[in-house]
Amino acid sequence: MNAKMESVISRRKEVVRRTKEILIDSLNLDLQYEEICEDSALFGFGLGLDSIDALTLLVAVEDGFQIQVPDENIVDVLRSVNTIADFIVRDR
Amino acid sequence: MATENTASPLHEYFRSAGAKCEDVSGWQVPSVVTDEECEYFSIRKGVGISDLSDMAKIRISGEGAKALLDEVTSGNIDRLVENNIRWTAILDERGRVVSDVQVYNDFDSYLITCSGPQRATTLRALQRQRADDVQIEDRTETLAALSVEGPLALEIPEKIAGMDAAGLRLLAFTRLEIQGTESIVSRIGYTGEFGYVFFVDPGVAVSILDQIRRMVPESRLCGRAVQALLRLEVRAFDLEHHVVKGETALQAGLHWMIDFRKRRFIGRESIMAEKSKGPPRRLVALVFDGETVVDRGATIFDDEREVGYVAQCAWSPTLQKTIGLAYLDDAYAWVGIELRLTNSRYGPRARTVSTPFFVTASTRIAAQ
Repeated sequence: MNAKMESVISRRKEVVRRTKEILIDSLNLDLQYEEICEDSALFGFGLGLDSIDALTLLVAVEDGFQIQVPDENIVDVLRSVNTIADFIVRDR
Repeated sequence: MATENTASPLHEYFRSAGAKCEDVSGWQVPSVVTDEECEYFSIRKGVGISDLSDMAKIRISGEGAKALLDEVTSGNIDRLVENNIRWTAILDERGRVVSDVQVYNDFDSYLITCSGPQRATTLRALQRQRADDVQIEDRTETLAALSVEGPLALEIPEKIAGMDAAGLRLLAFTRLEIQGTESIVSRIGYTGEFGYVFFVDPGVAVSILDQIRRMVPESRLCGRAVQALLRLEVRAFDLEHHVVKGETALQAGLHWMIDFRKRRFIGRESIMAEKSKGPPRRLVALVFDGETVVDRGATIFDDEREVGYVAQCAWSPTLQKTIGLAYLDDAYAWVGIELRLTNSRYGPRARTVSTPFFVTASTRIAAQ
């Protein structure tokens, strides 16, 4: 693995870890970090969150990463841990 | 169990509409009705109607029904409330996926559904653990099933079955009368679009299908072939395509089908051990260079090192890209890196990406 790939993965791991922590803490989920797949859907199938959870999670992600998710991007961003991480990585 | 070439009550209807059928576990199942791409866009933009009658439908009743299902499946059945559905899995002792099943809590009994090819293994797993106070009844051949999926499917249950079927939440169902017969309508699409399954008496299945087509003229009959792509685009689990070499539930990313707090279920010890150690490989989404669809099992490289293999690959008409899923060594199973399909640095590239590959029209409507 070359240095560039290592760096991308290292950064990604950090953002994913932090995103999962925010998800678990903000929604008080009875889950551990390793019990969430990064691609699991947040709503419906998958973690089964609802619209109130969505709002709580959005605020927690914005606070936790010191970012602002524009209204028009919320549906795309809040799909999975990975889609949230995509936004964080792109935004920085 | 289905004998050779069991036909659904909707078989002739689909055949007369031009459906090409193929044998799936002894059932003649419509594969393509008109054209796969038209059927794809019907479900992504309108409404597609599919015959799911070969889907296994198993009723579990008796005092020990809940305990049996909690033992056999990895999900929590004890907390599954009435009129709700849990999509979960049956694992083997090594944590590998034997079957993915949908468990309906139907008050005094449970209805288990799964795809036709998983019917025999599901029944075997249930029978193996069955206690004397549990009755298992295979209803597959006495209950027809048809699904409607697409952004325009939202109002169909109400149009067909009245107000009692309106506003069903995802993973919920209701029992009601349709055309004078007792039926079940569930909201459980597999394509990321609004999706409903009607479980009906075989004697009225054609008439209900006709009614749907009259009331929703833009609907189109769809075959089974297009389902693999539709599921892939939203990474809805598809055992046939997502499990290649007996990978475990954690390797396939099915954490959400597992209740890690449950004290007993088949495969629990292996799952907990793999969770604490970390899976050696994980299923990750990819976008491939060009339009060529890569074979299942094709090797993926980082320079000269083999780092994984393709599970599924298809051309996405919505994205106009070749997309897929692959099992990658844990160190490489992260979004944002570029790998190759040959051990040359000039070979076709594959980039790891997040799923869903895109947000469906129904998801956007539901979020409004």
